[in-house]
Amino acid sequence: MAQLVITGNRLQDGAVVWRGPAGDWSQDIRRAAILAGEEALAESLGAARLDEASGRIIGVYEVEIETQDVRVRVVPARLRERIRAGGPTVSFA
Amino acid sequence: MYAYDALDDRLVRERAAQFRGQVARRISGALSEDEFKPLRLRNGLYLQLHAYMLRVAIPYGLLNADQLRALARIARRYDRGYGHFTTRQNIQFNWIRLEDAPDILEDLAAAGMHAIQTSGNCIRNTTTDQFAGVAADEIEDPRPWAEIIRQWSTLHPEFSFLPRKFKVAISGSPNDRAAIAVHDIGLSMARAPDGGTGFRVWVGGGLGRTPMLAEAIRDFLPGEDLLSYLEAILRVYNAEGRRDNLYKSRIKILVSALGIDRFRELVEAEWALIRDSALRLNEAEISRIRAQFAPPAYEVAEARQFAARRMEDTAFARWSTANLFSHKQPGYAAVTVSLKPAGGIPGDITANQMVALADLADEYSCGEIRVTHRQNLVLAHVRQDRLYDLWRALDSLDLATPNLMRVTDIVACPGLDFCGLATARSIPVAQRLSERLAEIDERHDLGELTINISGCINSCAHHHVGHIGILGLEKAGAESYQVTLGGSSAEDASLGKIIGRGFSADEIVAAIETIILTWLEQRRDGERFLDSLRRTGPAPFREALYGQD
Repeated sequence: MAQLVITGNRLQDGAVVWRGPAGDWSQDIRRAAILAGEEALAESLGAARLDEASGRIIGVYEVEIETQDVRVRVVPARLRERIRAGGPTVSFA
Repeated sequence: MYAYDALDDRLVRERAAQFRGQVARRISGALSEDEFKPLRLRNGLYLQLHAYMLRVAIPYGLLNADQLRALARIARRYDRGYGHFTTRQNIQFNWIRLEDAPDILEDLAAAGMHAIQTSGNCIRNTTTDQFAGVAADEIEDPRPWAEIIRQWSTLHPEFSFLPRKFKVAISGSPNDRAAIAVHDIGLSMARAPDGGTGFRVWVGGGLGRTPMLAEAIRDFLPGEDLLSYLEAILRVYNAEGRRDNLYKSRIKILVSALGIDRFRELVEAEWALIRDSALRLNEAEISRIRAQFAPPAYEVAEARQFAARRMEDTAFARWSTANLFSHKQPGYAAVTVSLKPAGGIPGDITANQMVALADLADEYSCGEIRVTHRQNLVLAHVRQDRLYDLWRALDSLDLATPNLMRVTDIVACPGLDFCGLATARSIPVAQRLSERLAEIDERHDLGELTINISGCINSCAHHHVGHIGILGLEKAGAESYQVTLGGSSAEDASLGKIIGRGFSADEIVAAIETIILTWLEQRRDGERFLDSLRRTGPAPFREALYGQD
């Protein structure tokens, strides 16, 4: 099974956040809990959905990450998620 | 320009106060996201990739200088110091916090603005020609009619839950600068045999997944019947439009399924019931609205100094050739302020630029600014003998790129850098293209050539009607760009056709360059790209791009 992290957006400012090992939410994807295995995913996703139900986080879902270098950096497999993690690829006005 | 009356003012202030309560209940947990989402969308607040995005309505693209200053304050106080003008003549702020949204709506209300009808399945902001009221070729100024539609459609209870969003555009001139053929309803001002004015009515145009050009439903509609006829169309659509499939829910699908003749019969039958109702516009009301769009007090201006400056300064001459539009008032010109510097983000403007431009509008253009559906701005009333001073001021703000309707005047949506629906990036492609093509345009004088880039099939950048259209998709996990050729949103409207297989992000700039260089080999004197393409067909371009494969 692919390695996954859990993400969502923070209610108050819409910022992209990633779920950490202790159930905390960070804007830094390097602090995300890396999940391998369906059991770990189900457990973490279930807990994340409780945060969603409580209104702190919006739109919780799992994101596949590339497997190399996860101790150093965490890189989502899809470009959309890489842009969510790193911000726009253009320097705006 | 139209100034809010007490009713407008009360409506937007009450709306802001109502949203403050809704946001407070959401933050407290009293409202779930499912309950809150439709409420925030009705106030233009989307959740995008990185933050909330607020889309502010600019009815028919018309702003006064104080409103532009208010937008600059919002950009500074609540966002990251800039805004992005859209193809619906609105402005978006990309970095909004939910808890700030009620304050922003209150600030907007204080400036006579709001974010109503910028989202949701309702009648959206009516758009029109950016040169309305000053164009020598127009039959009548369409803005009073756009304002009448705004007043009728604002929070219209019967049309707040349409099958899908609904867009209306009006052109006052037979030369269509409002893209009426790709709107749910397109209105083209027309003259009756007795000399009175009204509209030719088009219906069922739209882009997105299933692009279609509108069909004529009525050759002439008297102005007094505008609202009853629009209401009849909306009623038929509301009753008969599909609600079972998001992708088949726009009016174009209904018109196509029924056929224009059957659709017309239904509309005419409905219209017969309501034509003589309170929806009939009386002359006093039309005149009252028209009076708010009376031309400013023009001065006597002469053009000699302008001509002399053009001779003296080639950069000014180049800009004035590209970015001026002839004005019906002798001695005046309408100026397009380009938001497309080479390598820039199409439609973006900083708060500093907004404030400076508001000051220039006060000084040079009767305090008025217009937003175009090609993501530029217009100062519509500039004395020709003051153009040189204005140009120097704009140039110092990086707002004087001489490229209106030229190859670097690229229309692009926010794409995957910001938008939650996007499948590929559009801004970086636009940036790389404008840098590359500026040089080719300088060398070959390409003339009118439009490029539109959408980051997904929803087509916010209208790629189907760009002379060259680019659609960004995700294919096998990578960005892929499909190219269409031959689109136009003008009076000769046409939908571009796909030229062949898509190109990667690394290939797309070279592919567009190949298309343009191939055209230059085919081009006859003074011919536009579109005219050459219509003459030769796509074969030379296909061969240049793909060879024999």
